[in-house]
Amino acid sequence: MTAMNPVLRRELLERWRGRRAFLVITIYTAVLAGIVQLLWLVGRAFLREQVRFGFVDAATGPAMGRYLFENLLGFVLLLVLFIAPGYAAAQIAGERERKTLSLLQVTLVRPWEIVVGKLGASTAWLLLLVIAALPFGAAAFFLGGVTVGDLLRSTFVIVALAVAVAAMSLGVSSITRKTTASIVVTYGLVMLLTLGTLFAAGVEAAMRRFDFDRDTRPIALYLNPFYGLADAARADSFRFSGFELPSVLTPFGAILPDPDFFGNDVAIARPAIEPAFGPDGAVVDDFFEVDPFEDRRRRQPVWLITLSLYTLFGVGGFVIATQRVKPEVQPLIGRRKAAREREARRVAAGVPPVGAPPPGGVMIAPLPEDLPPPPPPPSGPDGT
Amino acid sequence: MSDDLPTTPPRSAEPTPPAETVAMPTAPPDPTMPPPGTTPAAGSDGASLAVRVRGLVKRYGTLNAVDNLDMDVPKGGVFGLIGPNGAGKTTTMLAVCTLLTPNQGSIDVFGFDPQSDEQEVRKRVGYMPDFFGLYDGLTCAEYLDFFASAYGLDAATRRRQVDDLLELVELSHKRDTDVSGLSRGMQQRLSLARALVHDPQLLVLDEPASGLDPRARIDLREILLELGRQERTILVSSHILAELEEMCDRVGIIEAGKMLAQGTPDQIRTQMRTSMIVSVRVLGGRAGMEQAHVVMSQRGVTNIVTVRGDTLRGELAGGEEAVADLLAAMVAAEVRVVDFREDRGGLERLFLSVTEGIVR
Repeated sequence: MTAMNPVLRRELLERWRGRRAFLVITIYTAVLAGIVQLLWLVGRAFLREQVRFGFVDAATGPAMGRYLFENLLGFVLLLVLFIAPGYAAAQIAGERERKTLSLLQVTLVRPWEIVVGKLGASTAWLLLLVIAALPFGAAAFFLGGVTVGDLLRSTFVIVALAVAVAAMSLGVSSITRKTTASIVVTYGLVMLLTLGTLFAAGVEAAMRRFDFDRDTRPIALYLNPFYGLADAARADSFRFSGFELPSVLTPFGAILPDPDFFGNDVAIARPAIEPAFGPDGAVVDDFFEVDPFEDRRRRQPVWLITLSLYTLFGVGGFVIATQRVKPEVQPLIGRRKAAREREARRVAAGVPPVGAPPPGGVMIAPLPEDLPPPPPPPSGPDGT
Repeated sequence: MSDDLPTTPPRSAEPTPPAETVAMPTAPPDPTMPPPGTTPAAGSDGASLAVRVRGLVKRYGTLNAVDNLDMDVPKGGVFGLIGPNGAGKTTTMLAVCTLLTPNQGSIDVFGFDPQSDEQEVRKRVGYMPDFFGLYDGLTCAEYLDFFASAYGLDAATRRRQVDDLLELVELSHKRDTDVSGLSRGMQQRLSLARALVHDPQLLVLDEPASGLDPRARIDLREILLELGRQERTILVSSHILAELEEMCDRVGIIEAGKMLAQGTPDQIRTQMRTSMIVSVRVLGGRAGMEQAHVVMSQRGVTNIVTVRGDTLRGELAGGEEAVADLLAAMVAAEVRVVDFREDRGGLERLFLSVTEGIVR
């Protein structure tokens, strides 16, 4: 067995020991459970209303299952998008701030190993969050509407997006001098990717006078993580047997290219539903009859495009971070302030200013006792 | 207040080492000693050197932090780098530790170039900066273990090494204490243990005693002396001279990025003989002082200052010949000299005589 990356080992030790990690996971799962429960109550009330207006024959289960599933995915992605950078952004700037970076640089650990260790710690943390959420996603299987492929693909997309964002955050972390600056910049970046891309897409759509054919969509949309997730989870297929129960991913699903959104029931194979099993129906068939990747009907794999873009960004962040943790590389953000502080220290230390002539040879300086006696007690107004 | 008792014997300005008269030098200057300044230490050519620096230049913007610096640190023993803040000590040390790319010049650490063979140099060099890098949430043992693993040591070696080092720096009882809960002195000792974690041949210690109380400083010095007795080379910097004086075999005096002198303290003292500090106590009150001043000025003594009302002190270039001539001239001029001496002090004296005296 090769030795574990020391940086990763230390990060894990520092992070996962003690009560904090335990508390975080407990609270996180409790919040997720609460959210699923709330969603279920709301969705049920909705569906009851619709049933009352006449779709008595069909099972509501798949609609409910998909609704829970998509909302949960959306929520987990949101959480992970805001947790990943918060942790990663502090990692390298934190080493600088704690002055431990040079201690690491002088060891045999290579720059890329430092970054790999940091990214590994981020990934471990994200995986834990996503895996802890998986059981809730699986709850949808009792209800139908979701294939195993949907779950696997969506989980993969969430983890991959989060790791890419973490790698980007490491890049930001490596160019900033202060942790706070790094966190601010990183969250700005995440906002840009989530909200900024929507805005940019809106602008582009308006500029094109909303003239899009079936396969073209504003470019910025492909950078939006929720758009990619909506495709991976096939959020455009939310209609089942006439029930309508929109989720947070539904709007994103509605603007996917080549949509079947406003058509009739989506022609995707679904787990077979047996309405006889009560008002929510039940899945009676083998889930794995549905090939998770075979049933792609869309020619344009949006989630793959999104993941490719994020992978590119992530690699970029990784490369930047690797370059920036090398010895002697100064952070870019906060550099001027650092220069000012250095100058202040230099002045305080009494070092001759730049360009001062070097000492012109040996000269004798008087010892402290040799100094002329102190001036007589102050008599003038300026004496202190 | 100091000259109210004319019968008191003249006090040496420097209490520690007794001043000696010029006429009777105790240690004859070493004839093999090369001239001062840029001179390398003996044996600089061969493998006897741990660190060899030639013409090192490091610029920060327009500031020359290190300006054509030469340094020779022989293997074994303690080499002290003395200089005021901002003199370039840290920069030089960083360059030796592979953490800095010089603009010019060459560095050789045990035959390896910190630029091209940085991993080889890192294996052999332990660096203790002038700050403590704190990973909170780790205990002392884990902290050391982490750095040991960063040097690629296997688990069994690490465990042994951590135990040994904690014992060496007397922190065994703090083994499982969080590093953030250590006092400054303990942090400094732990930091030293960290620098030793891969058993380096060269220890580079940047201001190891800064900010320590006297007790902690003595503890640290004891450890360093212990380390210096082993087959290890220690390069230590300080602007606190007393601290180096007690443990350095050799010193390098550095100012404004230049190595002003290096060698054993005695060697440097000898080098400095070309410019000595003479201190002359005369009788005859003010008139006597003025007379002495005139003679001294005529004989080329510069920077003459009056000390305690009856003593003149100044700098005289030209070595012992000039000193003897000065004394003869003063006697010939019937100056009533009661005490005539060359001031030769400890490292501090040495330091001040070599540097511009920016720090005081």
